[in-house]
Amino acid sequence: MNQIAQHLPVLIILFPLCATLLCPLISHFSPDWGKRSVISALFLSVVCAVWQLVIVVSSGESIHYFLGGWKPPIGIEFAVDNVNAVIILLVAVISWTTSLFSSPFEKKERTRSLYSAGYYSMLAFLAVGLLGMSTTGDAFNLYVFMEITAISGYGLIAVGEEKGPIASFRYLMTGTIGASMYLLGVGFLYASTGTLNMADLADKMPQLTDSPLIIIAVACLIVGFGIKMALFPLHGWQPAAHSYAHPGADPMIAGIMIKIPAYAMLRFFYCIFIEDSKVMQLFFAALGVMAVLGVLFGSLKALRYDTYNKILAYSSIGQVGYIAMGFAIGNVYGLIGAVLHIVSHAFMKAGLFYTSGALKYRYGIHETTYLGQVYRKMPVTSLTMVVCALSMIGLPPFAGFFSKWYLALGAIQKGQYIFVAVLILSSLLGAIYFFRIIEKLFMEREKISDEENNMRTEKKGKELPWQMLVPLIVVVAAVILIGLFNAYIAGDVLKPVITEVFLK
Amino acid sequence: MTDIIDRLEFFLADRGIYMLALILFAVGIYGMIACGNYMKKIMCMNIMQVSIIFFFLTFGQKEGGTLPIALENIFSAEAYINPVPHALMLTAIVVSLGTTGVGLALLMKIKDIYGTIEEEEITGKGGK
Amino acid sequence: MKKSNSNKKLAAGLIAIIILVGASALKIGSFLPVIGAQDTPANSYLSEYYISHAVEDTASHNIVTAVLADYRGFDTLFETCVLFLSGITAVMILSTKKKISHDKTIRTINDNSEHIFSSNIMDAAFRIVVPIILIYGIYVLIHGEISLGGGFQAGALLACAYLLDRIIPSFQMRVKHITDEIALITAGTGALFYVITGILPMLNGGNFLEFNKLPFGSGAGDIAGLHSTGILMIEIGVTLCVMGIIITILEVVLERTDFDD
Repeated sequence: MNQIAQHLPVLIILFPLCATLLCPLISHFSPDWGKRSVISALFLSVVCAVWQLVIVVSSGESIHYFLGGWKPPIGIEFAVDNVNAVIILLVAVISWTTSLFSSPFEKKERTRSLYSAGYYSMLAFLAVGLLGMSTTGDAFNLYVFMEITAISGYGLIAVGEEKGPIASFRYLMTGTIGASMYLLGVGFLYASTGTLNMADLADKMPQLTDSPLIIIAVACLIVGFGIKMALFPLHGWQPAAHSYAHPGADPMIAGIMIKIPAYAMLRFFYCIFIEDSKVMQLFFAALGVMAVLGVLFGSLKALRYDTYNKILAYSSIGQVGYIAMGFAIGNVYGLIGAVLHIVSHAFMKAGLFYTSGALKYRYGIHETTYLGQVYRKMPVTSLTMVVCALSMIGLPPFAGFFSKWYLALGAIQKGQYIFVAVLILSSLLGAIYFFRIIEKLFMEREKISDEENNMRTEKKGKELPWQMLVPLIVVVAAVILIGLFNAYIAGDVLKPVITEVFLK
Repeated sequence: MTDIIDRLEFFLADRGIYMLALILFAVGIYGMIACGNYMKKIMCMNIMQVSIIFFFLTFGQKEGGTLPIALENIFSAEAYINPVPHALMLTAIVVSLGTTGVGLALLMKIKDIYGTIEEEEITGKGGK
Repeated sequence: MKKSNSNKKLAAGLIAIIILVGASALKIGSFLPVIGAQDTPANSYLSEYYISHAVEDTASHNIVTAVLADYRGFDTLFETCVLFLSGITAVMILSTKKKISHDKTIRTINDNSEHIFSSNIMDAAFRIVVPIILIYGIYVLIHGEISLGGGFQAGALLACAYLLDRIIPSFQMRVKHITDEIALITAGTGALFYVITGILPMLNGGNFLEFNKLPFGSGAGDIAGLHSTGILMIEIGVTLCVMGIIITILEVVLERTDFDD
């Protein structure tokens, strides 16, 4: 047991990796077993992630795992502390539920065995890339994992619906610019310090505070991470990509693929660079401006559209703006709010995209005008939609309220009241478009065309398959539990690490 | 006047390659944004990635150093050039190959669906 | 008319960009270290350690291979995975496109000779060149640690031999036709071999990819042998993966392309 426990950080990545490399071979003989091997490998990852979180929180110190046996900075290391462990658990849970969720879609579309193997391989590679990005402690290793995430994203968007290939091509162009800017930033950092390990870079930073190379490196890193997380002026690829992705993989793409670069930005800006210097304060102010504009832009644009996926995609731009606002605020409560918002928004947005996928699978609904009175035939889906929408608006017992509450506390403590005003305004705007959807779900009479009427009557009375019900229930449970236990999570799990490591 | 020319010449000899690499990077990004044909965008993407590879490799040069293959009993650091950027850039070249492969596959699929790879014609057919 | 107008606008924008970026690059360049200096931070901290300790730590004379496959071997594993992933993505994206069947028309020739290509020169070149490429590929793979070489280069060379046969028009295929599914399975097996080389030390008490604790060899003092074996196993895995993916992408594109001749 102890022997397994000391290898946990790398086992979490090894299980999905072996499953995805074996998937074409197994699917050659039996496509069902290829799919099941990926799903069970991701479940083993969830178990290991829970174990790792328990170890890290109970012992109170971070795990350092040296790959290849070489001590850092000579080799690559994995560094896991409280914040890391929570995000690794988040990625593992959402990856497992999404792989379960896409199995009915894949069974319906299976044309040759390589197609099913390819889809599940890409999904597992997306999980491997995101898990690796959250665990690693080396700057160049982060680039390789970021590219694994990106290429599997391009593939999963390209096999999607009508305008999938065009959206994927636009994402390819923009994403490559982002990754190259990140590589340029790492190049400038390497030229001025000579090392690539994150802890070692943090040690060498105090001597180099005013060096112009560091200023250029920070600018390149902001642009690079900003493109990957769809921050306001750099968000051009995101609405089309999130609306037209494959419905079985969209929850993972919209839920966690844009959040983990935000976590990496947090790690770089607060652990490596010195946040008290004048230059960094200027950059945080710029980040704050972009965040405020992003929140307003996302909320206003989401009011214009009627397609369910497009509304959710534009609202994501606003939510990423909240996370950037937390970074710009910069004290304990601001950072706690930002990390808690990463976790809670991932579950909420994944839940809403699960309902969108379920509606598409059962009825082929894309526009909200056709949603009338669906709640009678699909009760679990409607419950998930209501819980997640209320949580995104920010109503009290759910998780969304508490992350906004911590952000507002942090802003008031620093006296930056404009952030509080933007928070309240955007919550009101969110209430408008989410209540519109909920009203159409419960109140309006059915307004359907003839062929959809035929499609509905033949599937009358059947609820979703169990593989789609489990993710919905998991998401609802997570949103409610994070809301109820938020004091424990913020106070005991996140706060010690944030005060000691991030805000020295 | 000759003083300025001398200073410029020393600057170009000492640091000129950095300037060329950064100009190529900017040319690549401008091409990706401004060109109308999707195939030209992919070619400009390759130009941009190659310029970053050049930029990294110039950090590793040392005057008087030879290839980093260890000769018999000579282990001092002045005799060899820096091997770390070369190892890192092997990874970057492979990643660039992978991205170009996926881009070309997407181009073939777009041509199959829309019949063209010019951006204006695709936007005209309602494919934004 | 419209085309030449937009070309002129592109050219004007290009010149503006070059002047702007050139001016700012002059300023940025003055902060960067001089090219070729011996004592910059990049050249003096880690790389000194790598150069002076590579032979005694890893028994590999090629220092770039030592850094790539031993000190930073974890990076190389995921770089191989990026290649595998791009092959799978290319197959998935083009999986719905219609396949075009190529019928190679048999061209009759007058004399009853044993040529299989349509000219003597191509036939002779093919028979001489392909075995040389295959042997050179395996040579490059095995000499990765001693002189220049490595797994990526060897994989590309071995795929070139198959590519030569696919592209030259002939009466019959010399080499057996490899479908994209078999090539993908080969690539996956290569990358899996790399992962297994990393898992073996974990069963013996070491960390992932720690070559000191590989369970081969004759006793605890043979560090050089263990590291050499480890690096060779990694390079074989990388070669199989690279060869498989290049053949996959080639097959996927060739099956769906219409040749005009």
